[in-house]
Amino acid sequence: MKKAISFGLALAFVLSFFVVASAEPVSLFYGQQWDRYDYQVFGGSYVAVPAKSNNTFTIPRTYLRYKLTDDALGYEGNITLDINNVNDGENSKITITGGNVTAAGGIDWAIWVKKASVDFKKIPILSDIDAIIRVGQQDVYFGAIDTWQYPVIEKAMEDKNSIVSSADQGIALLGKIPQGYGAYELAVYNGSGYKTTDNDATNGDITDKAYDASLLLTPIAGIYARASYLHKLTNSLGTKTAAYNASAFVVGGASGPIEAFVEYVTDNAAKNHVAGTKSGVAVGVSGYIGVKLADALSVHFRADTYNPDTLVKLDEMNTFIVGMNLKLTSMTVLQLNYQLDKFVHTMHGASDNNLTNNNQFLAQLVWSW
Amino acid sequence: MKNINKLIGAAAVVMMLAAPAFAWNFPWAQKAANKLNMTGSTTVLPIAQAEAEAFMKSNKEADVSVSGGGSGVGIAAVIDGSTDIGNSSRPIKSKEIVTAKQKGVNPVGTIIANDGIAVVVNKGNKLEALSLDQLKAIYSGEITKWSQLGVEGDTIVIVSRDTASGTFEVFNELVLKGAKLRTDSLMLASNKEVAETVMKTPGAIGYVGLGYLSSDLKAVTVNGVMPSDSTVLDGTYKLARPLFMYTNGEPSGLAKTFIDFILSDEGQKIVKESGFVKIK
Repeated sequence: MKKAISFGLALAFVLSFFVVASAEPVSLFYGQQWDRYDYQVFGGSYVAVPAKSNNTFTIPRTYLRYKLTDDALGYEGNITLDINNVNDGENSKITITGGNVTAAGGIDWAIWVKKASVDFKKIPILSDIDAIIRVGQQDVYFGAIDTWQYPVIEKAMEDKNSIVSSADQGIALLGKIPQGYGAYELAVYNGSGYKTTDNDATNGDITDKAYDASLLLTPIAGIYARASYLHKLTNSLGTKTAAYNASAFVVGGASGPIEAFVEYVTDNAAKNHVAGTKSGVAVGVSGYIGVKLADALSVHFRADTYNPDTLVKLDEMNTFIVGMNLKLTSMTVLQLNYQLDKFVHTMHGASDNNLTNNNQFLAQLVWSW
Repeated sequence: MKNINKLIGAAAVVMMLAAPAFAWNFPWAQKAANKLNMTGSTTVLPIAQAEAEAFMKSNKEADVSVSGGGSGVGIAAVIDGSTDIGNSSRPIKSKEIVTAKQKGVNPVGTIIANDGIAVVVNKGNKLEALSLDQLKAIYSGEITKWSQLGVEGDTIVIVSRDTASGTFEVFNELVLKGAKLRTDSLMLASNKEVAETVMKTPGAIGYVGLGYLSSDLKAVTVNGVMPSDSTVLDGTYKLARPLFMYTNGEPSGLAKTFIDFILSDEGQKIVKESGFVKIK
């Protein structure tokens, strides 16, 4: 029912733009679909468990996007519907454990309104300083999460480790530094992410918002740096006084066919918090390098290390990815990835069967239109 | 292991099948010194085409290809390295500069011409001058009769370029500023058609590139300034804008030779013949 209401609201939003469209705006309907084959082999258990593997085709994303722009009036409306197998298809995977094949209960589809926002580009004073106001569900401007273009199939580090949500509802000031020396974003969000409603009135969470600030500097062609900070109060521990702070620093560069960046992220939420013990902070480092070998062929490497709690020993998770992107046509790209998630410790518990390695062989066709 | 081998095998087959579908242009390979690509603004397109033809006549080895798509496309192509020159009828935006710098591209724009628009009426019309506000009121339908402007005549016949044209783009940006064009406006496909229609229609008003002014049309002043090459160049005439060619860094190689040609007397003569205003 909830999904139906979301879809109805989204459809009404889109149709409202068609009504406004009589004011000579430019409208664009476009999107993207990911068709993925995922072969996973789990291994290296700390305890005796049967060998386990997955072998599944999924559609982890179908983005339907609509954009309506009127430069003369100075506004732009955007909506993105995300239709996908829930949890990247985890619920519909076929799992082989110790020779026994288990198929998931059924195909589980969801429709999310990923983005629904309007940009106001000609607000007096703001337009003079090259700034706009964006209202609605939009990106969270933080680290690499809003700029990650998926050169490899995996999400950005802060997305993979749930440090911040990739989209949220709120209002943002987006500006450019004169002469192209960079950009900045200041935003207020619900703080609950686009898949969670901010309706916990009992604990007061509905009144507590997340505050986000991000600054990108591009001093010279080929080098950039970005710093981001997000603060919110959360009632995840049963009170409204627990403050969540996350910071990200990105340094990147590009020269000819090579692009690279390194990101450092930290937050104070102890993901592996153990009752009765003091928590540290979470720290993650991600490095990426991509090389364009030809117009249609590029190779990509990424390495992450993420420590969910610095006061807990041996709880790091390391990720290594090597991938190749092959442009089959102007609208289709084939991504081939090998990804190793290496867990250093046993704290992942029963849900991970105490596994130390997750080898993934992924092939994904990205179709854009 | 079997499955891994199958996966690798499948990938190899896909690559082999896909290979003929596109050109393997390796970025490190020596680019043919005689080839030059440019894309972008449809306003700049006629200049670029005429210049390319003249350039290739005097440089027999040169192979210059030109395509349209719009200013945004031209600048994006410079940023992603898929073109040598990106043509644009507007200056690059801060957002585009930031994106370019992040990708290691330093977009440099060269003004190669100016685009000026003259407001014209039928030769028999007594109108001499209009302000930008009056022009907006006429084209948006607030002023519908010549008598409202203090001259003889009945209904004003609005003649405009079609919305796909670069000339309309300028007019929309500099005059209409968000207002809707009067719904019964005649939308014509070329400057020539606009000029001919205004010539033949006593109550008509239109706008054309400066290169299309003739003694058969009457140009009016806008904000007190008569359109001419000199008033466009000194900035006093407001219905004008510069046209750019963007390159990654200062122009070099064949791109520099070509842009130098456009900036030469011979190249600027072609600019004028194409209906635009020279840069000097």
